[in-house]
Amino acid sequence: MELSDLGSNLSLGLGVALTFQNLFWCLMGAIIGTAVGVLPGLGPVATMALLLPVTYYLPPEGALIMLAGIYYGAQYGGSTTAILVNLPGESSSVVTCLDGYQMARQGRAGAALAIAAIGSFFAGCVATLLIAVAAPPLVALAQQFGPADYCSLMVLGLVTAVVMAHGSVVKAIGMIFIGLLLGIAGTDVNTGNLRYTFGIGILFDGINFVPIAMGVFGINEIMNNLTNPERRELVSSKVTGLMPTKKDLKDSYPAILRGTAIGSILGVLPGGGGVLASFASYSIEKKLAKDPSRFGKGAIEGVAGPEAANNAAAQTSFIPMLTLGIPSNAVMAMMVGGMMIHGIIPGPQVMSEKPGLFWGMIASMWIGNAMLIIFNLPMVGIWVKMLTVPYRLLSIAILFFCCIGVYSINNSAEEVLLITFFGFVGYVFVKLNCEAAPMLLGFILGPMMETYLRRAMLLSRGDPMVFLERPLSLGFLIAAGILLVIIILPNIRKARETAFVE
Amino acid sequence: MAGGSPQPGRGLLKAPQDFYCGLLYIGVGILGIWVGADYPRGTPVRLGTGVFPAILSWGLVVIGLIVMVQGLMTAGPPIGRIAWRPVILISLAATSFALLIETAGLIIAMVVMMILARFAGDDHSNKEFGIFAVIMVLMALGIFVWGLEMPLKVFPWS
Repeated sequence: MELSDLGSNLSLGLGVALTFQNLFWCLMGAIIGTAVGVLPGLGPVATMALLLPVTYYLPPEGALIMLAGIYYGAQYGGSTTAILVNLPGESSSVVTCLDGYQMARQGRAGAALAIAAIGSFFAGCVATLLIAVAAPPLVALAQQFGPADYCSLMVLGLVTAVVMAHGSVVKAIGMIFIGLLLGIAGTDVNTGNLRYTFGIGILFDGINFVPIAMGVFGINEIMNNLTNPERRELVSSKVTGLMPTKKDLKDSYPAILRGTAIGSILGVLPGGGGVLASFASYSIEKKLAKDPSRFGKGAIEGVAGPEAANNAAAQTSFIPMLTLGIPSNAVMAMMVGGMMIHGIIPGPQVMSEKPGLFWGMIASMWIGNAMLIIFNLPMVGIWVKMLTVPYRLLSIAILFFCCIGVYSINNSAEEVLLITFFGFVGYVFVKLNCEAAPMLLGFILGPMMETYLRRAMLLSRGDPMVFLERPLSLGFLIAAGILLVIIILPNIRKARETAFVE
Repeated sequence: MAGGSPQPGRGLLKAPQDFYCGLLYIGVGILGIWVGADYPRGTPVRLGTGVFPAILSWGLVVIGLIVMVQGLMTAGPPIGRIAWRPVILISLAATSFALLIETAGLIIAMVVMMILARFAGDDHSNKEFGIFAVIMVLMALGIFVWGLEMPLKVFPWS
């Protein structure tokens, strides 16, 4: 019964994804994603922010299929730069540099690129299937949630996202609070009162998601990248021997399997995503290897495992967003932004209310992965050429697309001023070592959290104990509390130690 | 605001980044409390406009205090040099685009923006920048004006 459900769901999805239009958007997403993945200094978050205004002109299915394609396409593209230039084109391919670049220097760039693509493809397929299997039961579970449970789940999600991110936990929680505050600025939907608008007209409807995301990620990245100029050294412009040998495949397939498993698990956790997964996979491969000293000197497992892991994680991080409506990282926040542009409220109801969109997007991931492996390897030459575009020109082009993109949403010049403001704010945050991603999550979740908080209080007749009386809600809050204690304790200890030394 | 001593671990400010971050959080929190003071609180059953903002603002003040104290107690990295040139010029470039797009039209807005942004980064050769600027303007016209047919003012007189 369940299996036939899965089959009919997937065939419904394939029906949507295989229309000519959606195939085109999927391909566009995959290609744009690869391009930004290849280019260091332009990440998927900034690109998705850049393209959000464009998706306004597309049907919702096409828009989300393309946005998803950008994300997993970037995972493929990032490895190309890592292997050929020893620069992570994308943050999750940092570890691919270690052995991938060494392989390239030994003249095995082709094999490294191919194994990275094969690993990513395999992981992408498995993880997509995993989404299709895991989504319906999770949605069924989510439909039992009351408002109090939802509110607590969001708290747990935000806490987990903070714990998994690097850097100071307390500072990240502060960023979430700032994000939540920004999210509720504008007209209060329940009462119609204005909040934090400072009499500025464009703030009456609330701050738009696009200018804030573009400012903090797009404009701010330009400011930072222009400050730290990088050097790019191509190992060779010619890549030969794209077919891996039998031995390469034999060496790397266990790593790909393990990487897929690790990535699939870590991807589901809020804040996890590709970076953590690729690091975890690399260290496990190194531990399991018969001769760990080969790592860092061109071990093919060191490319295969992390590449599989980051792509698997990229796919499975869609699970909480699609089933619960809770974005787990900045990229998923962009996806939620894309949905909201089309008036779709993310949550468990999307699967039943818009099955075509839901399953179409999942099916498109499989198609997109297939496109990436077919198109990408032969196109490596083009990507390599693209790396020769100097950042001084690229930065101007990005700046222009940010400005015109924001302007085009509402034909509002004031919103372009907002990206300047948030670009500057983003720069201050970088200087103070605060991460912007938690702020974006808070921004997305702010209005939802307030709504659920109000509903919970209304249903409980004003008794805040409802959050502790409902077993699910209590469980989420306890889990959040335990996580926080675990992560804060060593910090306190360290602070004490330093204080004692002084 | 982001001045501070560049040397870590000296004097009272052991971690300038944390200290100023805490200060920023406290500032935003106090602003939130102050501006939101008049928002109706409603009743526990029907929470008013002001409740959630108040919770968040007070929370932010508390977090800010913790971060600030951390900045006084544990050593951390300095704030580092502020790259005024890209920050100011990129901000100016985007601002000028915002101010010019509806008055002087797309082409002038683009050109002014690109010239300002040009000086934010490495030196360009005039020839390279000129060719690039022409390509960008043509591409913008092609994609946004002729392609997507966006209602944009192209020339100052149009």
